[in-house]
Amino acid sequence: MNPLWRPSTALVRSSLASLPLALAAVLAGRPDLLVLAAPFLVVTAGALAWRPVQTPRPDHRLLHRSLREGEGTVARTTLSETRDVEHLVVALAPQRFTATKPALGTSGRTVLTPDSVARVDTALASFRWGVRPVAAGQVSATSAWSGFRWGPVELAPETLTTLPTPGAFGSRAPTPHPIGLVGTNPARRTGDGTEFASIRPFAPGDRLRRVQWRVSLRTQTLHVTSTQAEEDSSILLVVDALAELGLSGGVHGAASSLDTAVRAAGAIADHYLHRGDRVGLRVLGATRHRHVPTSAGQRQHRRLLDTLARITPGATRDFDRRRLRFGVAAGTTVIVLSPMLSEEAIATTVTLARRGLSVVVVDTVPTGLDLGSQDPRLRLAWRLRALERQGLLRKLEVAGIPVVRWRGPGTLDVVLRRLTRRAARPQGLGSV
Amino acid sequence: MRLLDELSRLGGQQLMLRALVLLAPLLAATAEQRAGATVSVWYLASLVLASLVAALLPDSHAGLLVVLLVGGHWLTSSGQSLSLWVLCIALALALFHVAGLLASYGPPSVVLEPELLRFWLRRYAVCAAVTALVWLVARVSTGLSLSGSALVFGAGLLVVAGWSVLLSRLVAGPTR
Repeated sequence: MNPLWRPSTALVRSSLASLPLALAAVLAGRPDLLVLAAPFLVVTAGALAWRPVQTPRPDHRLLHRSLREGEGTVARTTLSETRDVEHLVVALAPQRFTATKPALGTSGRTVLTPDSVARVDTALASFRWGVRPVAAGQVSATSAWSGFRWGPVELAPETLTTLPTPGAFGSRAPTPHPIGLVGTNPARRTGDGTEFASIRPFAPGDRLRRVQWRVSLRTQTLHVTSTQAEEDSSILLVVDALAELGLSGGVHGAASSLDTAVRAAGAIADHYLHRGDRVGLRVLGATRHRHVPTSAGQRQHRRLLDTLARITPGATRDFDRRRLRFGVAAGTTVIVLSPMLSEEAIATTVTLARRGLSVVVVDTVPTGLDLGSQDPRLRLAWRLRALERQGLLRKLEVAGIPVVRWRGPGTLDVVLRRLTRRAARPQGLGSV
Repeated sequence: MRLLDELSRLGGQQLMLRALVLLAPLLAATAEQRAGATVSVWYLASLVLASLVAALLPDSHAGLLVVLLVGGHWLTSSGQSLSLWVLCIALALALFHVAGLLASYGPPSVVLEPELLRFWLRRYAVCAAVTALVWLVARVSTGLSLSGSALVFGAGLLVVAGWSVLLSRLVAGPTR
């Protein structure tokens, strides 16, 4: 409900101060008291002469609803019907991972031309991925001579989606099982491509431009150059959002385990989608949107970033490893981004590997982990947990699941090459 | 704790306005003393306390208490005086009022624009001009031995009110 104008404290003060002084002056015949009352009489008269009639109407919105980490937008507060407004103030509530300019989120604007629309723009930047309500606050207006005040009126928060800024990532290694039609990964079969495979005798169906004339003349039989087919591959990113380890300082500060996982997933998706591969996403945890089917293209990139931005850390209560369904095609390379601290994450990784998929674990535990407390018991507890984790990671490696630490470009090169070499000779898994 | 949090956000402009809120009543008390009123320690202490509350919470009614305290003290502790110091007291009280209302325009972190400050400088000038005129009229009427007449003062009151509305409209221009 739009509130009405009400007398300000200043009007109450000036009227209640001037009235007894003026009355006392008149009744006691004291002109000196009238002198004391005079300035308050002027202010009261001014405020009452410009008594507001028209009630302003507020409107509040964000100019952009989706940003990248570190980018900014504007929270625009508009007040219409400002005929009686002399000054308006917008105060936005401070929020974590959000910065405003002015720094404390309070802006004032003097309305110089009445009967127009008054606008207050507050610059707002988001420093961490996620979907958060921002720009909640209050607006109030004051009439001429500070006589009447309208508000403060609550400004409803607006939902801002901050997409993760993908970290730097690149990989020269091919994916282990290219399974598509066209792409950049050398396939195991021969076909149209650029990578040399062999020189073999001509067979019906071979193209004439493939004839290897030197070898054909030497051997007196037609030979052709065969090349390796090039195919796209399928990548499934599994992000462990069951727990968040470490304190997040936003895009310019320290990264928590979930920050690393989300930004790394964005970077890997970016890299493979640009190469023409298909990328899908599965989020482990209590996040509502947990699954993006494997697909290719720029729209898929945006879909993946949107889902990554919606991740909220938390464990699922109904986890059943027997009911794990991923719906991934054979030959898909699975990249698990996880601090590997939960039973659910370990079980998921092992289940995927047992289905014959190439699985790589990217360890997202931050280096120099900040526990946020100097409590020695907490440190001891973390050391015990870290020892348990080391044991689990060792078991994963023994089971043939490589574990690498996220370090940006080249993180996956060595393990992917190893998996490509191993692709021809499948390995059994040990017990984990 | 919330008050301390808010005070920690005070900018330079707000600090200056609140300093004026604190100092203007002391100026008024000094002018009272110069005009011949007896300023006791109790009066001074209560004035400082009320001014401090008004400076910390400019949107509260502590400011009204300050004005009534000065007015009441002047009423009870002095004889009829229309020296220049009375004008000083009135102007100090007006300064207190304007600084207080400017400080209460928004949260402590708000920075008022120069346009608004110019508006209020002009308005303060109007207040000062009206007050000076009333003081002058009072002095003239005292000289003509008309000070005891309630009728004259009632009429004077009406004139002041009407004149101030007219003058403020003229000074503020067509929009204000």
